[in-house]
Amino acid sequence: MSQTVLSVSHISKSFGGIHAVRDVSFEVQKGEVLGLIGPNGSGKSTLFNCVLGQLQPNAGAVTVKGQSVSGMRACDLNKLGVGRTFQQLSVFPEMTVLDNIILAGQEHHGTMLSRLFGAPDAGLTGEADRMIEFFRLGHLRDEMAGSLSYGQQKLLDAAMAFMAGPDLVLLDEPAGGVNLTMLANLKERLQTYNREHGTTFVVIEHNMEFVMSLCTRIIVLAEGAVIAEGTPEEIRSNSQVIDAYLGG
Amino acid sequence: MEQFLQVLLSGLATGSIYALAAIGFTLVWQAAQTVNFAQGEFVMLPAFFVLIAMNSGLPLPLALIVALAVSVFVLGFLFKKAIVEPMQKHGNGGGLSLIIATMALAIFLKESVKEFYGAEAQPYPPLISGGTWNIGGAIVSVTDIAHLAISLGVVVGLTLFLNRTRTGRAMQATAQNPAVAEILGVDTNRMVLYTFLINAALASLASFLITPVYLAKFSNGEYLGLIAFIAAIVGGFNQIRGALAGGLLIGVLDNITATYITAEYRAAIPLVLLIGIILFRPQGLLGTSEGRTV
Repeated sequence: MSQTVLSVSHISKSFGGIHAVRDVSFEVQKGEVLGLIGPNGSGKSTLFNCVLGQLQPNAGAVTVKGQSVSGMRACDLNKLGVGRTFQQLSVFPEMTVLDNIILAGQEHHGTMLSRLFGAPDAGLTGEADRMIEFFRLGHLRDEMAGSLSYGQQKLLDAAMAFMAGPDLVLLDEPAGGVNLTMLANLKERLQTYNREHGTTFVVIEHNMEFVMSLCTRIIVLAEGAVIAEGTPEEIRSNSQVIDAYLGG
Repeated sequence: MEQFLQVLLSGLATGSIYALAAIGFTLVWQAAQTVNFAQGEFVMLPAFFVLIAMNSGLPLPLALIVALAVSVFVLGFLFKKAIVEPMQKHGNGGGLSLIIATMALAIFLKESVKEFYGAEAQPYPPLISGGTWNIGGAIVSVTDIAHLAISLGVVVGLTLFLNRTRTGRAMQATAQNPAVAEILGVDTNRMVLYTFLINAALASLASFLITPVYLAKFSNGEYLGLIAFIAAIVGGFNQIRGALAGGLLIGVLDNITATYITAEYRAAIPLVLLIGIILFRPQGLLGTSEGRTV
């Protein structure tokens, strides 16, 4: 039986007279990998920020595992089981790779007292090492995150998003600026993680090849509204989608 | 040689107290990306809380505890809630408006103390009163050694807290990238509040240690704030160890100048140092360059 992890219901968001998102609804089931695509200015990022509670929608509701996330702070969303990666690099440059990963998991472990004065490894070193190995960053474990290449930092960013064991991970342009070798590595790791842990992904991405090969279902936005929804094959042959992208 | 050792130790003792206030500048900069120009008054005020508590009949140790608690509440919690947070809502994290607000706060605190306690310097009891020690022929004050030990002990303790506890690590993460820290589950508001509380505690300690030297006076903050600000810039505004180094350096240079060159121009030395650092190493002796998109 399917289990709804994320429910977006009739979300609309305007900035002045500009309707960035218009009455968008969809649900994401446990273990699904949903892609959100659309031309520039189609409302993807606005929708993403509404889902994350960073923007307050003018209308509609967002629930995660049945709980409304309206007005919820990002740190509370994280505790609800929502992880995310950023379009821009989002690691702590003056900490090692290991410390970045441990930090990403530490708020979910221990008592209030141990969170206040406990040792910074938080008993998570073993788990962090496994996550580092999973994302093939073992040789960089003790390097400062700021010294890593762009692609390596993207992998680290993904590893950090998974460290707290989230049920839902929102990936904001994970392929942006990553070279082909690193991209193949990232995609393979995400697919393996999804298969092994049943974690739900929502992916915003411009790289069509990446989205088509990673996602099980795709929603296409244009001018703030959903114009198509389906499997990658259905989307690839949808004339409305082709028009939206090619302006035909 | 004996005299130099005497001058050096005395300078390090005073400098370590400057460093406590300078570290406060660094912490607030890292947490809120602002400069607290009321920092000098934050060092001036707790001494008056001690005097009020003592005038109410409390013995010095108890008065110090009460003053520390009141200072942490007023200069940490209330400062953040009543001034920093409302100003930060005005775009760009508060920016210039927050800096100007701290300048106004400095004037408010100074004038309030003057109004309440008068313009005259008030006698203030020393925390540690002792004799002298002979170290390698140099006669050094026990008070100086105790001040140095207390200040350095607190700085070491703070550094251990920031590097060796989960809260410290979360505070560092908040300073480096608050948006990402929040997404990863760190309650960044709480971490910033902790920073302000620590700053208030450091300023209080500096106040308790330095006021016996200067006596309690409403205008003490002007000089102390300026020296601490310069120490933070000289050492490196974004590094605690930089602020520590800057404070110690200014304390030692000040004493050496007064003893070997001239006492008349000793106040000019930190300013000359500031100009030199800004010209030749703007990131400070131990600081790192920071990029900012505007």
